[in-house]
Amino acid sequence: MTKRSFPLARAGILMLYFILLAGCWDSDEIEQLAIIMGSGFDLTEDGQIEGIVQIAIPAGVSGGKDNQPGPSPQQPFLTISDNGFSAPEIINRLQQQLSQKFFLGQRAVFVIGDAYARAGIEQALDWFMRSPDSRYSAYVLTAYNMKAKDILTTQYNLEPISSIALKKIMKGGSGYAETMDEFLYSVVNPDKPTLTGAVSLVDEGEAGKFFRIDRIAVYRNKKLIGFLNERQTTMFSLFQGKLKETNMTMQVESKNESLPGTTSIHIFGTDASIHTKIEGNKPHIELKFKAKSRIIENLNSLDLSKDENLRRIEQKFADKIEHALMELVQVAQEQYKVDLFAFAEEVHIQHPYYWKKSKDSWTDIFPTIPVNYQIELNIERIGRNQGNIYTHKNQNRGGNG
Amino acid sequence: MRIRSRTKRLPDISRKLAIPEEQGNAKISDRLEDNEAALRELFDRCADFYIHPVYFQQSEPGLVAYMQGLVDTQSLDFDLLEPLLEQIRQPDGASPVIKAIHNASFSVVHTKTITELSEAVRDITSGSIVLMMQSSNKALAIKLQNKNLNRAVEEPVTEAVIRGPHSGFIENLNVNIALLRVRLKTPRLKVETFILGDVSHTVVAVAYMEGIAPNELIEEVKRRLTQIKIDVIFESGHIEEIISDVRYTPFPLMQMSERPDTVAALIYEGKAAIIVDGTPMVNIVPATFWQGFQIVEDYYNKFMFATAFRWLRFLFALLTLLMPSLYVAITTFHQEMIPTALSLSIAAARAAAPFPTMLETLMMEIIFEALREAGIRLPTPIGPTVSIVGALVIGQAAVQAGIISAPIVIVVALTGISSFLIPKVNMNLALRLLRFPVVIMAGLFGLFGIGAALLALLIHLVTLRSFGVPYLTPIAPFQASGLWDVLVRAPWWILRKRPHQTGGDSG
Repeated sequence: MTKRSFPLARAGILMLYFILLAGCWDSDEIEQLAIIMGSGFDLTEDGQIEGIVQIAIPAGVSGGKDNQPGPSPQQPFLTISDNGFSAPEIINRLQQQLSQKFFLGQRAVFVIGDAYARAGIEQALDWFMRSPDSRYSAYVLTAYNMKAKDILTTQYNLEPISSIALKKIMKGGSGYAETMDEFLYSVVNPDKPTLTGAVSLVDEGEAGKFFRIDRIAVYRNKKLIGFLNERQTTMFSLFQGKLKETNMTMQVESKNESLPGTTSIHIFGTDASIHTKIEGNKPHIELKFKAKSRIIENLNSLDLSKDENLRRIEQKFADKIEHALMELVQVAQEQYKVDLFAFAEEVHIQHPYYWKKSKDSWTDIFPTIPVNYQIELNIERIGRNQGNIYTHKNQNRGGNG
Repeated sequence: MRIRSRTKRLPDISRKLAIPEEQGNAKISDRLEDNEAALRELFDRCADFYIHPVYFQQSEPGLVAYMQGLVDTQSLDFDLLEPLLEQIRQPDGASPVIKAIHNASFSVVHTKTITELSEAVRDITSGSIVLMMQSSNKALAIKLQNKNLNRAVEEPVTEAVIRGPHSGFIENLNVNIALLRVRLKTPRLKVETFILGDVSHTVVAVAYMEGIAPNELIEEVKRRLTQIKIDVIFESGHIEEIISDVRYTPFPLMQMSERPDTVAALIYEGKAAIIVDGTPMVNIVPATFWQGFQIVEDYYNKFMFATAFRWLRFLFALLTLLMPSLYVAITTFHQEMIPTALSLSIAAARAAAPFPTMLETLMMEIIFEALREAGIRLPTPIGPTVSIVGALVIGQAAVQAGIISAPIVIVVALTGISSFLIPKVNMNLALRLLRFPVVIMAGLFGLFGIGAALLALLIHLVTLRSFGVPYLTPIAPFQASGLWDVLVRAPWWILRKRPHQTGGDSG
């Protein structure tokens, strides 16, 4: 007798697999979801966590059914919060208030309140790593000297939903952007420093409140220990490649009555690397930084068509960058004792045997590591004017006389 | 080439449908009166049957029998009978008239001598004039078909082209064969005919290129055709359904065309055309999946445009199949996959929607198919009304009334437009029908369900064969040289080889 294959029975068994694996109980109509755009944690006075969620109201964002242009009468989002000892508990309590299902799949930002961050962020992390709902591409921010709630309740007038505004600021490159997966990776990996952007509010009066992500929050042992200031943040972001372009101004010549003596450059391409070598059982670090730039403003009497003038300006800016980097390294080694540049990771990669021996004592070694700097700045373009408007005029006059 | 012959016997449909044979196997008698009586009895109550005696000079009396509407009566009178009455003056012999006509006279018409009464009946019903003479047991069937029954050769409606010949097949087999012969002027174009259908006696022709089409293919086509037992064949679809390799499949296992240039090109590639008298639709075997997306104009336009349009068709064929199901799956299972702004727009549009997405999608897709079907059946002047009612009432008003959501109208409309890009009618039908089960799978199991449905479809497709040729050739089984006419339409200087599966040695 020939072997029978029972195609219908096989199809039936397959169908059963489908139903058991991916039945229709997993489906949710999109309008039945409370779409969380941003969330945050704050510390309450009695030591609990306050979970804050910003829920989008779709009809308020896209004008709803009538599709009339212009601002819609409905507000585009609402922010609700509740207290509890853990994230799942808070979600449970929030869900009880909502007619729709809690949905984190579109979350754009996660904001950590200052006080909560200083108390330690460990409590929430496990849930973030474990839950499949949580989106790894969401950005993590720390609120600078304020509560996460202050950020998430703010109405940002250029965007209907303020969380999306925060996301766009970071995506656009103006502001240190740390995604959830980078953040979680840095927390579990001893080689990496845990850093997030720090957001503050700027009150522009009539125009409303605006966000500014101009600082970096520095964490040590899952606790916030301080912030890098604006200048340090720019230099650090530039070195890390998170900031692709920036402007830099400095005094090149001394000020006189007609000219302020400054030059501004626009840095548009950077290349940074960290080199390590072990000498006398101690790592030595060399920070290499290359930048391409063009001159965007020249308010001094230097003739830029002359090579030596350009070299001089290049040197001055390179010195400035070197100072900024030195300051950063100093902050890292002395003030915060946090391995900002991830020297540990480089040593780990480049000298694995040394790393094996010394990784346990790295916190002691790190502050004493000597660091060298090698900065190379090229001015590739000088713009349409060769000199500046003042010298140009003088030359013309001289030519006539 | 290897053609896997069918192990199962073809269905014997006639066993259920056959009516009793209507005539006996009697020989034609040499008594004219007996013949007349027999014919009159057989054609009793056939108002269009015509039988009357003729008297030639110096000859025995004769008898002419024919169906009035089928024969060209003008030719009968002026070209046949009149010269006969004047010229033939042969007194002796059993049936000199019959011999004379058969041997010499009418080069323009088709004549044959018959001895069986049943044969006479068949010839009369298929439009011949049967001439009988007293004291002769032979009769002569003269083919003088009424040309007014044929419509003119005109542009085919289902396969209109911008560039290319504007002639299409008509309902007459002889004209259709002539249209092929005009394009392939060689004796190697063989046309073999079969008479199928116990009641319809339909002439079915198999046309192929000797030396290019593999013998196995031709033998298999002939074998399958001769196995057909059915009473009537009105259309090539009858044959297609009976002799296809796989019976339960939505996909066309034979290519259908009513364009002589398409058919001639495919015959030249080494395929066989099955032409059925009475229909302009010609079946070409073997067919592959990819032919559903190729049109003859691809070969007339420059290869760049042809390739671009081919890809456009592939893309939109995919959309036809998957667009509604992707919408259902993503909005009900995988909301995190939608860009944030879009997800908010969809959520806003669906805020007051009363039906679940899957139900809404199925409803609208069925309504769209209904509108389309209504449009085809309606007389041309009323046709546009359907689209107005459909677009305004179903589309706009239903959205405004909040019965359905706006995105689904967009999805359904886009799917509808996509389906119009699939050039072959039968492939179009297959993909349109298949999108419904895929939507249901998407609604029940999300993207996982779509994946499973596509996998099942793929498994089905690779098991299909058309006259022994795997349906997905040349992708699976893979033949690199065949890709030049599937994924792209390569320029002519590259497309020199015939397709591997059908091209013979002389290719």
